[in-house]
Amino acid sequence: MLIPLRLSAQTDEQLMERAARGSDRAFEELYNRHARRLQGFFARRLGPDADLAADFMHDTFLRLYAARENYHAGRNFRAWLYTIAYNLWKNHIRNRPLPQPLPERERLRIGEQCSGMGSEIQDDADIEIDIDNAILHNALREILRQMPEPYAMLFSLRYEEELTIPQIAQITTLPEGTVKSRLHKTMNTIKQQLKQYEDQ
Amino acid sequence: MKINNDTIARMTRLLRDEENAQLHVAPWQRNRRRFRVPAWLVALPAAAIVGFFFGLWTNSNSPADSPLTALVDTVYVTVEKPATPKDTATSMSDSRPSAQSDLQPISRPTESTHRHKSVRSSQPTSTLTAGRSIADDRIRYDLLVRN
Repeated sequence: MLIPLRLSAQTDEQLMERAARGSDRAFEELYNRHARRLQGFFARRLGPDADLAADFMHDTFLRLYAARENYHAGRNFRAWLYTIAYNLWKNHIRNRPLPQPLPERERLRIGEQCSGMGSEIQDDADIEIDIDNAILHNALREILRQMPEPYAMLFSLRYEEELTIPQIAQITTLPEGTVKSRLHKTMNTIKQQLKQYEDQ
Repeated sequence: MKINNDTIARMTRLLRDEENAQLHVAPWQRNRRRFRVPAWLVALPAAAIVGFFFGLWTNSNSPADSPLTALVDTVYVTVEKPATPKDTATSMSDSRPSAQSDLQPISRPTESTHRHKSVRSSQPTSTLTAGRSIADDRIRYDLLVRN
């Protein structure tokens, strides 16, 4: 049997097993694979404070490192990692004040920016498509930013972090049916809000 | 553009990649020291040094450590003390006739007869004692003093 010697050729679960046996290099490889994505996850969920997101990401990996010996073979690594991250995030938002929604004037300004981008240049068809995409992206970014919890978290885990429904149910300790229905509701809301940009 | 679930999912992933690419991610802080001194390489010299100083502290002179000293069994050192007036008096009292000294004990001055505590017994603590002759084997045993 051939044993892959390069760490980059191994799966997350194989690396985690090696890390559980005391290999710091395997754990560093896991960090290099998932740190950026996890920091982005926290940055989107915690707001614009980049340092806060970096702190949460490091805290997640420190907790993972401390509990590495508890890892047992066959457990999905990403589900475990995001379970730690989700619990950290939940503890954080439990203790912070509720975010204030954007004032009406700010929402109108964002809408004008989006619509103004489309009306400036009409000549080239490719540029027009790019502008349409940029408008849609800005609109979607704003919708996701304004989305209330826990819908935003479920949407993020499903479509940004690309976890499966059973994994999300395991992470959030919700029934799979609840996860599915909330995701369906979230998707319908987003579609309704993006309806105005359709066929522009 | 038709907006459906796939479009939204694709746009979400694009937004995610754009935002993640702008992040600054700090490297994992691990111990990057490549070479480590083996523990035994530190422990053995340290134990030797500690043992050496412990031996000095306990003043150890076991036969294995000091073979020359082991050759000397006992060394008698003769020290002559200068005669004091009391010693002279004691020697005078001792110089009585032998017949009388055999019959009755010699009265020696004791501490009870003296009022002062500082006055010691008239018998000198170090007297001339017979030991091995210094010049028998031409070794200066008087210099080989065991501490």
